[in-house]
Amino acid sequence: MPVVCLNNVSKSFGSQQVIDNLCLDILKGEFLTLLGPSGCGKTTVLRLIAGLETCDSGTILINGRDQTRLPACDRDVNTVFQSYALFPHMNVFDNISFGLKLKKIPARQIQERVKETLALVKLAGMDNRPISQLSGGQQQRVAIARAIVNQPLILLLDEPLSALDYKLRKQMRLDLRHLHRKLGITFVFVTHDQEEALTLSDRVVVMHNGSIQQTGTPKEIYETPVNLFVADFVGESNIFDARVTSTTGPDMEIRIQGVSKTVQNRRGFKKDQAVKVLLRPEDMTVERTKDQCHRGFLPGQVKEMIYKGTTVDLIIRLDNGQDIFVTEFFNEDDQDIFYDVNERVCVSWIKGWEVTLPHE
Amino acid sequence: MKRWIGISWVSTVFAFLYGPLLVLMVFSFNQARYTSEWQGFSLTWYASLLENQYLLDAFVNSLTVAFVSSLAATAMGTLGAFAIAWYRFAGKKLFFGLVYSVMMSPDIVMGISLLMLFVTAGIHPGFFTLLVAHITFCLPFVIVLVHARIAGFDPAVVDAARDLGAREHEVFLKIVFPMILPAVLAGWLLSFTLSLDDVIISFFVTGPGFEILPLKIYSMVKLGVTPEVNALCTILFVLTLAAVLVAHFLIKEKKK
Repeated sequence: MPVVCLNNVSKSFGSQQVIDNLCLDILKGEFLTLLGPSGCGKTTVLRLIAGLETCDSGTILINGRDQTRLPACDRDVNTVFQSYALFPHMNVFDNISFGLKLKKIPARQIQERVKETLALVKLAGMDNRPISQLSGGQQQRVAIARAIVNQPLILLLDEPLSALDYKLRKQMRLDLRHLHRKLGITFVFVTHDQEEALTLSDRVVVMHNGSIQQTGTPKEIYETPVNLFVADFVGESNIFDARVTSTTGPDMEIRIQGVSKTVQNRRGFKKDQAVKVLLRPEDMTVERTKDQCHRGFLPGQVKEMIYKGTTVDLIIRLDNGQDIFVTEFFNEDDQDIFYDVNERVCVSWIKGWEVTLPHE
Repeated sequence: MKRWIGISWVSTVFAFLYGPLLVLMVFSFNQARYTSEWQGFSLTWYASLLENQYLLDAFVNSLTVAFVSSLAATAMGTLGAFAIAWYRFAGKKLFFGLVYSVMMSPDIVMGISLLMLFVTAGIHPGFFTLLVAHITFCLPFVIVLVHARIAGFDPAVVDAARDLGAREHEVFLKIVFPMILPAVLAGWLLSFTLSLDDVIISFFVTGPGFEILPLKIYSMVKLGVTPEVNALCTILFVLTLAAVLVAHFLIKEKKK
């Protein structure tokens, strides 16, 4: 049974519809990420689950019970806020024990639980520090501790890593995963950073304009995006216009950039249908050429070569004028992945690595 | 060299600020009646103050008005600050602008306009009119001070408190109030001192039946500065200083 069910939930602020008839089940114990650009409504979904906003229509079930109208203070859900929202007039201990004290838990137990939680977030012994004397990373940990010390059913995290610097963010990502495994509670994480979403989550929900575009594992989201928005938002994509020229069983023949190419037909496309072909930069292969390209290869010219340490990124202008982005990895067999600017190349990919979508 | 310039600069400033006060305080202990010549230490004037029933009455009146008006202004101003900071309503910007304009308007203009208001409304000048006037000119200071404090804290802390299980009254008592307390105290103290030493507005709105200390001193000075006035001013100064120190201490204590 899902721990949270959002059924046909809608929410408007004034005349602006922020959440549009949204349905989402969150499974017990999973790490779910709501991913989307700013303004897509992901934070509002979080606030609806927390009870900090009430929805205009639809129902919210938490642990099987209808809690649509239940105020935030009565829900078994805790939040880590983007700005941390620590209480500045209290020290670390008072911040973390705030929820427990409200629940009238005996002082001794509070002491113990705060101590345990502080150790869990690697802040042991910091009890008496005032908030103003903590670094950004430490404040973040206090905010997490303040939420998890209540042992909630669900932990909501609203872009908690966005204020940290790159190194700290990477460290906190690992720590969050570790924490999730250790606590075993459901994490609902909101971010606009696709890398964060892919590395952290069991499941990713991609949102746009208040509705869900795709739900799936990070691998599904990245490798088989269901529409152009998801493909474009998650990772880099090269998008080509193409037309189906013939279909044969599981495959089809398409005309792409004036070249014929055989690709897989996973969606039952018909002859003469216009399609979009999506290719990830790392799925494309590049070959040098002196004259003509082989069948199924798109001719082009190297415009830019960017050395990145583990990879080399190429920007290639195809002969019809479209710029594409290709990533080449270093490997033992093929040391020669350095190209000259303006060098003539042929670009292709292995059949089946492409994603074909109907023309939108 | 630089250090000496700094020190002499600071001491000049302090001498300029506190020199006159010091002279006044020293002469309040002077035995001489009229001259400004030192004739030996004495507490005569303090003793004679205590016997001056008129002055004592005025002093009690002043304290009463200052206490009641500062409390009322603080309560109303704090609520007003919340209204401006947290709620959306038509004319909010205008309201906030008007608050500033009351703060900036010359005392004499306020005094006369309040007087005209009371006369038009047929209210006899006295304690009530004085109180209303004092609340009016203290209110903007409280609103501005408390508003700055509310605007300065992250509104998400209120959400955080609710999220952790606090009901509305608990959010207010445990989170919001402690956070704005320094500004509320500062507003209250400022109102108290503003009310205590106001002359111009009070001059217009109080009646013959209700005398307050600053006005009493003002009328005494018309006949010449007596050592009695010096003594009275010294007491007032010490009182104000004590109030400032107490408030400072309170604010510091809260921060720990």
